[in-house]
Amino acid sequence: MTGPAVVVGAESLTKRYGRVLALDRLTLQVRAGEVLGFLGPNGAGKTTTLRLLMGFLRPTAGSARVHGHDAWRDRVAVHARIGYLPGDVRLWPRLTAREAAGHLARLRGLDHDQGTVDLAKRLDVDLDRPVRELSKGNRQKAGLLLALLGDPDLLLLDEPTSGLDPLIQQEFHHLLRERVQAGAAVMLSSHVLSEVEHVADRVAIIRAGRLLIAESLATLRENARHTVEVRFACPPPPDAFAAVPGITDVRLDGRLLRCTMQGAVDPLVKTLGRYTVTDLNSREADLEETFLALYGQEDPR
Amino acid sequence: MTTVIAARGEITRQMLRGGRRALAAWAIAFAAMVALYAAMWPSIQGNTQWQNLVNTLPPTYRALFTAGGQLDLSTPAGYLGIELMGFLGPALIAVYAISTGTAAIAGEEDRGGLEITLSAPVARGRVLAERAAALLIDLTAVAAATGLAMWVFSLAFGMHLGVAAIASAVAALAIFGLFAGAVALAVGAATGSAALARALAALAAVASYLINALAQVTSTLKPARPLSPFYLLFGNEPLQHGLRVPGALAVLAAALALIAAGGIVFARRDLA
Repeated sequence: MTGPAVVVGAESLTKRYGRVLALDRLTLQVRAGEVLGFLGPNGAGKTTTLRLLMGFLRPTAGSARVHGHDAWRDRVAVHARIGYLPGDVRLWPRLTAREAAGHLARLRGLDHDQGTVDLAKRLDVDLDRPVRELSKGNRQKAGLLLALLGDPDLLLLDEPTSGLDPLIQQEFHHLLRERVQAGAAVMLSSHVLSEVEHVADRVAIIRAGRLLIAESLATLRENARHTVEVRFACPPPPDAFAAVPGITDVRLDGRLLRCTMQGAVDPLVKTLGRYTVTDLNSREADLEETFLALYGQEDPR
Repeated sequence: MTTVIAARGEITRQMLRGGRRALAAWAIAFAAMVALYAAMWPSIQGNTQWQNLVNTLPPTYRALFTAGGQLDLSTPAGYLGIELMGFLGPALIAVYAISTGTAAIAGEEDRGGLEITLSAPVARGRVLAERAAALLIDLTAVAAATGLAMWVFSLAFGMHLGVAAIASAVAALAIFGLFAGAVALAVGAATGSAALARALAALAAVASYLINALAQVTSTLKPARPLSPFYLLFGNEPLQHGLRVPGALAVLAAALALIAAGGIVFARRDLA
């Protein structure tokens, strides 16, 4: 297959803890230059997936390859090019963010100083207080700084924007965009769609350890439901629209039609051509509704 | 393919930096303990009542207070050997080593920092090896401070201990600490449980002490005595008779083997 290089390739990746199946045959790819939003309710297997990709957990079955290296067996080679943000950012409590960045930079063989100061400025990180004295949001920013250090060409970020104020979140999205334009791949998890929809090119939705869907946001939007309202010059026959593909919830009330289209509205528009339409109004269901529909209406626990 | 060469010794240096204050406190505590016992020497010296009292103790008691079973308060080396090497010194260095060894991997895993360390392109085995090196350096520093204090205070209070005797005694202390710390480090690396690491290491230290003590009074434990690191290091009364090098090397080798075994499991297990 052509196109940008596959950076992350999970193949039937499975993780079982005793009798609990945390991840069930996940097959997923992330390519250079794309941001994958990894969505699902808490406990769905997002963190397990990211930790498998980091080689922190041994797969029960299947495999994960990062830059062509096996994530479990060739950890060191994999880690050379990954920036990682854990879901629970605690870092080294006694070190300041500056000291932590220095230590990590030396472990990564980087010339660190310039990068640290620039990132700290952009993410508004307090470099000189011990991490244990920082609030959760400030610790999160310090963790992001460490993950972004040294321009890694893959970022694995577990709930990166949790606890961030909107301004910093925006700046963080700018930073991600810059990295992606330079060819990096990003995989970031969240349980809220709105946190990723402005930055992700594709989303993968996972529930109870199983991948439900992996689509580009554009495709997801195209397939989103539309609520359509049509006003006619004179009332059409009662069952005029029953045969339109993808139509549901049809309510024909005299000269007014209200209905829901699953996916594109084109089949309806073709049928409407037979009648005189005085007004047409189509509204796309927002992504959140689509997302919740995929979650299966259940309250995301 | 890019290969990253992480700065050699960076993990060791980082652990030493983080443990600086604890190290200073322990070194001062050991030196103060030496000073205290040395300061009491003038009142012990020539006072036969202590020795007479000690001689009336049953052998079981004496075995618990002395590594080798001899109780000689008439010489400085005998007196300081009993006070510092019979129980208190080994116990304290074991406490320090176990807390340091536990914190090195399992403790950091509990506190959440280990994932960040291991997200760097550094093999788990190397993280463990560099932290074991830091543990060894810490213990050497405490032993050196103890030895220096012995030399200074033995001069100050007229004990005149020889440099070789002092070196033997503090080497035995450091190696005993390394043994206890290695159990903590290895168990912590292999399991990720700080509580288990601490418990098993304390058990190993106490067992090695009790086996040596009880083997002197019960014949059933006698065959086990040469397996006790406490016996191998302190049974010869190193301050009086020097370090038994083969025994010391055996304990050192056992400690390194434990760490290596812990490293093998560490590289193959899931992080907590």
